[in-house]
Amino acid sequence: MDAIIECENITHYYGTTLIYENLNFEVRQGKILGLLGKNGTGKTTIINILNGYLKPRSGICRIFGEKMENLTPGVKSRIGLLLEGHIQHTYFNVQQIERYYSRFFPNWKKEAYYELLKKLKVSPTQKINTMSCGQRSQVALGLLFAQDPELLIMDDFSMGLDPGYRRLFVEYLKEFAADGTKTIFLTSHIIQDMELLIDDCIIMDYGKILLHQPTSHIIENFRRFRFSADRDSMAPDERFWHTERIGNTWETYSFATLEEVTSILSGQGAHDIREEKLSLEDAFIGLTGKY
Amino acid sequence: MYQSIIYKEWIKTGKLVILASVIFVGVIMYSFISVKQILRLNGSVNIWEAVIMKDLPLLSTLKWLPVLVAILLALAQFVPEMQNKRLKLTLHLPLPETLIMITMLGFGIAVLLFIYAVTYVVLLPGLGIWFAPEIVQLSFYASLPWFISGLLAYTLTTWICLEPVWRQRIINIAVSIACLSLFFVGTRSGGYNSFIPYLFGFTILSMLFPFYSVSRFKEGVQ
Amino acid sequence: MKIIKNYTYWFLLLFFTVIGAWIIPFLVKKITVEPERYPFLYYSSVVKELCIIDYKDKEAPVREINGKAYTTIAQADSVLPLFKYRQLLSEGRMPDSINGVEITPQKIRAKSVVYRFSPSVISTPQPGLYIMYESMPKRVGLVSPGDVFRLKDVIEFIDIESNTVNLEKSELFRQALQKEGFQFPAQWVNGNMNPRKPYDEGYFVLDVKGQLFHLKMVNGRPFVRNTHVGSKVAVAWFDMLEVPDKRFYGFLYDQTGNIYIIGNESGKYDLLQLGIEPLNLKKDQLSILGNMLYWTITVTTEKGRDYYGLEMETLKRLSEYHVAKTHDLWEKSASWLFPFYLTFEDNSSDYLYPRLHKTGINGFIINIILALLLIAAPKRSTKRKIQSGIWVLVFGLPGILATLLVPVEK
Repeated sequence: MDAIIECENITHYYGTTLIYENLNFEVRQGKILGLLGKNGTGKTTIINILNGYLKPRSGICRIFGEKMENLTPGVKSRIGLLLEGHIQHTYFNVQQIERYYSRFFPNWKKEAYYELLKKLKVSPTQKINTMSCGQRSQVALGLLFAQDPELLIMDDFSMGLDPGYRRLFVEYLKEFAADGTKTIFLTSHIIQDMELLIDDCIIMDYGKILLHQPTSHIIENFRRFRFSADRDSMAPDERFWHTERIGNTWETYSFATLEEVTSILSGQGAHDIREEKLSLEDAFIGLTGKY
Repeated sequence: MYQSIIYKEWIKTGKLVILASVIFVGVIMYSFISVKQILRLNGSVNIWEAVIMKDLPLLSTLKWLPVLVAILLALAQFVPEMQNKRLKLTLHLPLPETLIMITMLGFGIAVLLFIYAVTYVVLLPGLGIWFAPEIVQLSFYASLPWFISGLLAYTLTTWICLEPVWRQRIINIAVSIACLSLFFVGTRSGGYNSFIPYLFGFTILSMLFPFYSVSRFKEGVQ
Repeated sequence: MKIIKNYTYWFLLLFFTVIGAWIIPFLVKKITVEPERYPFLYYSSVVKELCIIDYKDKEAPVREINGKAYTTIAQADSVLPLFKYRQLLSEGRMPDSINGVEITPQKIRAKSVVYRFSPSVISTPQPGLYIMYESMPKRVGLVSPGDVFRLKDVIEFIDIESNTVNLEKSELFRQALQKEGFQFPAQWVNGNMNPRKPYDEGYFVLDVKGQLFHLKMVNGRPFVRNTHVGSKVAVAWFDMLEVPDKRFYGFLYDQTGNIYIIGNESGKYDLLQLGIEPLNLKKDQLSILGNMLYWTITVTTEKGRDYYGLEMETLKRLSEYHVAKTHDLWEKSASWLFPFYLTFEDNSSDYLYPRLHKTGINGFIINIILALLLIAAPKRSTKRKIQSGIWVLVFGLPGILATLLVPVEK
C-alpha cells in the first residue's frame, strides 16, 4: 500500500508560538485517518499546510508524491477538499453549483449529488446562503461525492452539525470508502461517532502528536482504572495518562493490562483497582486530559 | 473549465453588471439631454465658444462613474472569495493557479472594457452630431483619464481585496488612493495627453499586483 | 506564481517609491512653503529711476533703487504720477505735463500697456478651433461670427448651427493664404479670442517654413499678409495684444528668448526689440506695465527677479534692478530631505506628467544614513539587506518607506 499523504518534519510557529515541532506522519491508501485534537492544537493548520495554503517554518508534505505548494492540476482533481465550516460558494443555488463544479472533473457523478440532496427539503433553485448549516454540509458532501476523488481531505466536518446530520455524514462517508480504494484524511474535535468511521487515529496535543494508532488498537487496549489510595499524589509513570484524584477515588488511563497496572499501583498503596472499557471519546479524554 | 470560472464570476457579479450597464445607459442619456438642453438654452454659438475659449466640460457627469463601477465590480468578485477564505476552493480547482487568477481578472477587465467602449462608441459619435471633431476629441481626451482610472481602480481593488492581512490592506488602500488621485487633478481638457501613455502602461503592469496578494494568501501570511 | 511574485515585489517597491517620492515632498511643501517675497518696482517718470513701492512701509512707501526714500504718502504719490494718476487727479495735484509732454487722462489710458506672459500659455492643450471676428464691424463691438475655423493642414470654416464646413468661405480664405505664399501645415495660430476688446486684429499664423502671417477678416473678406518677420528672426511665439492706441499688434518671441513688438504702422510689421535680457520661454514669467513715457518690465526667473525701466518710444533700457531669490523653508528642507523629488503638476505648464526635480547633493547624506540604519537593523537576510540598502541609498526617504511598507516573505 502506498502512502498517499506524507508529512516530514513539519515545524511551524505563529509568531513566536510553537504549533508543532518535527511533525511526521503518513496516510496510506485505503485508510480513513482521523486527526483528533482539542481546539487550538493546529488541526486546521495541518490541513492548510497539506493543501499548500500555509508555508510552514520548515518541513515538507507530499500528496500523491507532489510537494504541497506546487500541486499540479492533475493531483488536485484527485483530491476532494472540505473546508472547515463546510465553506462553499454560497452565492450559487443548488443547481448552479453542481453545474459549476461538473466541468472541472471528468468523472463527475451528477446522480451522487442529487441523490444526497433529495433527502433535503430544498428546491433546485434555492440559494446555498439561505440554507441551514446542516443542509449546507450536505451540499458540500454531495459535491465531494460527485467529484468522486481518490483522497478526501475534510477539515472538522462535524462542526456545527446536529447529531442527526453528523450521523448521516458519517454513514455516507463509510459507504463512500467502502470499496477500500478511497483514502480519507479528516480532522475533528468532536469524537462522538468517529469510532464508527476512522481506521487510524492521530491524537494531537499542543505542539506534538500524542498517539498515532489504529482505532481498534485504542478501543481494545486503552482502559480507565479507578482505585482508592490514601495519598495526595502518585509517582509519575509514563505508562499512565492523566492520573488525578476525584473526591476520594483516583483515576488513571493506560494501555497496560489490569495485571500490570495492579503491580505498579499496589506498590503505592492503591487498592480496589477497577478496569473500565472506553469509548473512543472517553479514550480521547483520557489521552488529552479534560482541560 | 475556464468557462465555468467565468460562469462563477457572472453569478457573483451579474446583477451588478446589469445595474452598472443601466446606470451607464442612464448617464449617457442624461449627458445627451443636458448637452441638448444647454445648446437650446444658450445657443450653439455660445456653447461652442465656451468650449473653445473657456474649456467648458461637456461630459463631467461621467467623471466618477468608471472608477466607481470598477471598484464595485472588483469588490463583488473578490469579497466573496475572501469571505471564509473561499479562494482556497477556487485555487484548489484542477487548473493552474495563475490561469485561474488570469481568468477571474480577465473577466472583470473584459466587462469594464466592454462597458467603457460602448459608452465611447455611443457618446462620441453622439456629440459629433452637434460639435466639430475637435470638440469631440477634446471631450474624449478630457474623459480618458477617468476611464483609465477605472481599469486601474479595478486592479488595485483586487490587489487590496486579495491581500490577506488587514494592516497591509490599509497601507495598500492609502497608496491606491494617492495613485488614483493623480487621474483627477483639475487641469485643462487634454492636459493629460502626454501622461496617458505612462498611466496606461502602469495600469497594464498593475495587473501583476493581485498575483502578489494571491501568493501571500497561498503562503498563509497572517 | 513564484516568478511573478519576485518580479512583482520589485515592481511594487518601485510603485510605492514613486508614490512616496511625490506625496512626501508634496506634504512637506504644504507645511513649509512660504510666499515669494519680491518687492514691486515701477519706473518713475519724475525721478527717472526704478522705485521700490511698498505702501505698507509707513517710513518709506517709495524708495529709489539707489536708496533715496520718499517718506510721506503725498511725496510718494507725486513721484509716480503716471502710476498714481487717479489719486493725484482726485486730489487735484496731477501735473499738466511731464518732461514737456502734455498729460491728459485720455492719453494716459490710450498709451497704457498691461501684459503678462507665463510659459503655460505656450504649454497648454489647444482645441484647434478659432473664432474669426469681423475686424471692421459696421456697429460698435465685436459680434460672434456664428462659425469657427480650423487651420492646420487646411483652413476650414465650420458653421456652428449646422455643424458643417462652409466650403465657400473656406475656399476664399485658402486661396487668400495661398496667394500670399502661405505653406500648409500651420505650426501655430495665435490670436485673442476674447470678444471684450476694443478692436480685432485676427490672428498671427506661423507656417511650416517659419514665416509669420497676419490673418484677419475685413468686411467679410480674408486679409492675409506675410509679415516677413520670419525672415528676420526665428519665430518662437506670438501673443496678440490689442492696445488702445494701435501702436503694435503684440509681442513676438524669437527662439533665443528675445522679445519684440510688431509695429502696426502702414502694414510694415516693423520689429522693435525690448531692451531686456532674453527670456527662457519654458520657465520665466514676464509682466509689462507701460505708460505713455516709460515701461516697467518684471521678469521672474529661477534665480530671482529682474526689473527693467524702458523708454516708451525706443524700448531702450534706462535702468535695471535685480533681486536674488531667497530660499524659503521648503527649499531648505527639501535639499536636506531628498536629493530629488517628483511632481506631476507644474505652474509653467497645463500638462500633467512626471517631472523630476533635483535639489542637490545634500539630500544624499540622509540617504546614506537611512541605508546604514537599514543594513544595521536585524531581521533581514544579508542578500535582502544589500538589495534594500542600495535601494534606500538611491531613493532615500521614499525608498525606505517603500521597503518597510511593501510586504516581504519572511
